[in-house]
Amino acid sequence: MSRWRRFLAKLSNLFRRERAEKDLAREVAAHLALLEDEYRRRGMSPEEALYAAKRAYGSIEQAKELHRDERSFPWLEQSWQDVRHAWRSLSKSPGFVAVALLSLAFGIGVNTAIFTLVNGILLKQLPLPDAGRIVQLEGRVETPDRTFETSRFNFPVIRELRRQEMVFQDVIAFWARSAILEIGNEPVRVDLELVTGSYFSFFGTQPALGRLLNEDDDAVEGANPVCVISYEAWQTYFGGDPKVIEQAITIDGAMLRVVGVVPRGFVGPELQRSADVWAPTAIKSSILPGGRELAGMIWLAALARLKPGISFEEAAARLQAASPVIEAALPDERANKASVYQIRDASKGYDSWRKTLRDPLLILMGAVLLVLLVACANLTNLLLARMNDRRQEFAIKLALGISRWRLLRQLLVESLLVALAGGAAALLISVALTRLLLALFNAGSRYRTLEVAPDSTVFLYTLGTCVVTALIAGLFPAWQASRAGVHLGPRTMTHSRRQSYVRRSLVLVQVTLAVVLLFGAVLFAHSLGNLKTVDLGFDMDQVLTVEVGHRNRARKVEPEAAALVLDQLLARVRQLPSVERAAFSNPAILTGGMIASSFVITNTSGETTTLNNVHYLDAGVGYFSTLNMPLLQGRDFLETDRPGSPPVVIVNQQLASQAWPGENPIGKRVDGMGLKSAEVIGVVGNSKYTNVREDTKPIAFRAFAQSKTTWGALQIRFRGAPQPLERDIQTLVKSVAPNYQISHAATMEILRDSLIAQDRLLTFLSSLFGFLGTALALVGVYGMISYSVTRRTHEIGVRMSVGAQRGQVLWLFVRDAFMLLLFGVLLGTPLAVTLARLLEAMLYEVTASDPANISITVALLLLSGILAAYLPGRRATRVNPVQALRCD
Amino acid sequence: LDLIVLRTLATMGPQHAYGIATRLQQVSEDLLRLNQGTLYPALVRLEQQGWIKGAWGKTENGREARFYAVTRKGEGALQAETQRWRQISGFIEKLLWEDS
Repeated sequence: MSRWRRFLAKLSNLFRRERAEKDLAREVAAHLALLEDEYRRRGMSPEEALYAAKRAYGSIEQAKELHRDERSFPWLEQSWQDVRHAWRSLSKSPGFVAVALLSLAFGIGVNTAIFTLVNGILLKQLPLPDAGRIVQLEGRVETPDRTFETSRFNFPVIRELRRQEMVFQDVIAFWARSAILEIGNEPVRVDLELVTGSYFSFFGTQPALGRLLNEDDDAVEGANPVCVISYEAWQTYFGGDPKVIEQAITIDGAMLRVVGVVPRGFVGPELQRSADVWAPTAIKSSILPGGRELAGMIWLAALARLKPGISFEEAAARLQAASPVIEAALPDERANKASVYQIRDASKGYDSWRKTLRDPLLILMGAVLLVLLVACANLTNLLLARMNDRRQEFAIKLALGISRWRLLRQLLVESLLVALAGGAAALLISVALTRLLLALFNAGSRYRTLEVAPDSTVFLYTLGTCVVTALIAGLFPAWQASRAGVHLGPRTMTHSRRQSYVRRSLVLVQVTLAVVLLFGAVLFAHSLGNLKTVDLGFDMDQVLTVEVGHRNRARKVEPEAAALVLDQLLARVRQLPSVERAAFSNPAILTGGMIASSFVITNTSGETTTLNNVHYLDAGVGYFSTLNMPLLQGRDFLETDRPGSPPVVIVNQQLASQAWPGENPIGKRVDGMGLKSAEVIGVVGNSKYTNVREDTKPIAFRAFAQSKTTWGALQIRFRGAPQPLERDIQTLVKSVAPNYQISHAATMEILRDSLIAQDRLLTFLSSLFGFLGTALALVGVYGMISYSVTRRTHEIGVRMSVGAQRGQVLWLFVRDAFMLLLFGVLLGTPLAVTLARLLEAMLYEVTASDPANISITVALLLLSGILAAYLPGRRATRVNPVQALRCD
Repeated sequence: LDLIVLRTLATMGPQHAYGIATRLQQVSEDLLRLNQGTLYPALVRLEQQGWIKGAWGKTENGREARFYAVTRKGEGALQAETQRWRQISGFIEKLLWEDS
């Protein structure tokens, strides 16, 4: 009780310092007056009495200090003093502060940026009180041929899984894709998600307006064409008008009634992505061909909430045991038969990124920690130099009775202050960098965009990093300083030698780490260079891909009618002035779309061989010439290859050599791709299909006109810029085929870049980190030599006066740096090569032990390092020997 | 020291720091010669605990001084503390006896 009361009194004194101080002075004065009176009464002269009183009282300042210690929290008051002291002392050396701040701002900034991603993708949990019970459903499919895992299901499976009440409280399923929302005349691209009825109740979401989707909406197929929109979509497209409720909107050609608005900041199954429009799965057939009950369609992703009281292991075991029952209840004709159902932890949300981004993110995190270490070493070195210059100050302070602990604390507060200021700048840098990274990552991405924002965890991380940095970097110099003050006077040789040893070791560590960082950058850059220059088998410059189809994809369009429209459109596109050549294909290469078929070859003696899983695509007339793919043998598709005419096929070189090794493939007959006894009419060069990284695949080409597809991708070789052309095509489609729409317009270059987005990101980041690490290490080298030149001015003077040439003096310092750099490279290279093993899975046709990469790294580092030493070293050559000798 | 100061104030009534110091010297028969300034921490502690209360007043010679008086709570605390001190000193006494 009294202790508590005392605490409060101390606390209040903290804020009434001036008054407490005044009271104290008054009391001391009164006390002295009384004493003086007493002595005067004893017959002393006033003057004598004054001195006697002071003697009896003892040291006034000491008494005051004791009083201060008792009345409040001295450590807190002192801390405040320390902060102000540190501020004054730092503001006297702006140069030091600038270099230290910059090192830290970048060192901590890149840390915060990468941690923002790590936090957003790998650490953050769904904002649900029971996130730990959320699981993601997966299936293991075992067929006689092969075993594979799937995380997508057909609708009947979801219905059966929902019946497993022994395991799950609820199961939801969802399917997202980008769609065209038509408002007025302007079509806009939005993210549409089809969801099962209990989706919103699963996340415990309340509507911002109207109502959200419920089980009734999703009960009967096609009965309830409704949707809800996101708060952001409501604001952007409907101006926040409450009348949006009951309004009908057209999305991908389907009419849906808006019934509600989802609250702002809604987090669905994924933390990194959100939709703009949600509709029940029951409306699927109005957006895509085929009802949702279609058992052959594997499309839905599923999350489930475990029943309360059931453990993860128990749930997994029960689900596995129930798998045969679920399977038995499903329609017989379906894809992914014989699945064994499994669960995976989804407390961090449905996993679309974690699996693929985990390793790159962890590696980046490691890299930024190395950068921070280099920055820390810089700060330590700067502090050491600074402490050395301030030895006199410390000696005086110690002599005046400051405790060593207090001095240590003052110095630590100084470095903490620098670190915090650096951290504040780092936050700004990290926000900009994170934005840049996401933009880079999402550029050209067609379906999923990654969204991550910093939060309080990130802020805490930054703060923690600042404090740890300040301690790591500041502790040794501060300790040194607080110890060193004892001997006032000329610097002792042993002391400065040990200090210079420490400084050298720090620079050595910096150089070693810089080698590691730089090597990583060189590897990624090399890999990206490989990916960019890899022969795709076609010429991708100045090619635009535009997908064209009926605006309601669910609509059954007669192939003949569609062919007519598409042909007409193609003819008009070819007339556009900026178009050189154009052709249809389906699907478009490099977009991720792919079709495959088995390929039955009948040889001359009537025997058949089957090639499974041959990739193919429908190519229109002029496709190969548009992409500049070489026709090696035979002929191209012609206008005469019509639906009624004999079926024809073109194969690539790989397929030709695989199907008819050593024979002329022209004129051979094949069954497959829905064609009977199609004639091989030509052979083209090998090319990439879905990905830049893929190996050479056997590919067949079917005549677009014989494919009965009702939509296709225009491949256009154009002149000039792609944007005006895109607009021209948009207008063309509107006038020629008003019921058709274009989507996913992108140049081949953008498509390629989106395929290597992760590589681009990694290269960009590793180069940034490599550059930062090296730059910081060079600052270390520069600082060391510069300091050494200053310290040895006298020595240089002596050397020059006895006849040393400028070059010799310069060499003195450059050699010093060179030895250090060489040593750092020798230490760093094996370390870098070892660590690079971790990267190899992410690299394309680059090996870590390739001497070329190592030599580039070493050369870069040595050259820049020598330059960093040359600049301050040159200063040494300008020393005037007479002055140098006179000044000491 | 806290206990001594508290005790002094309890027996002598409200007193200023100088008075307390003089009194202590008398009682201890000059055995305890402390710098008078060292009294302050004890006074601060006692006041913050609410056992004594200080107020500005005038001495008989018309000098101003801060007078400290024991509060009701202070009296209770004095008793409890005295009790405790006796116990401890008795205990130490006993220990010392046994040792010698």
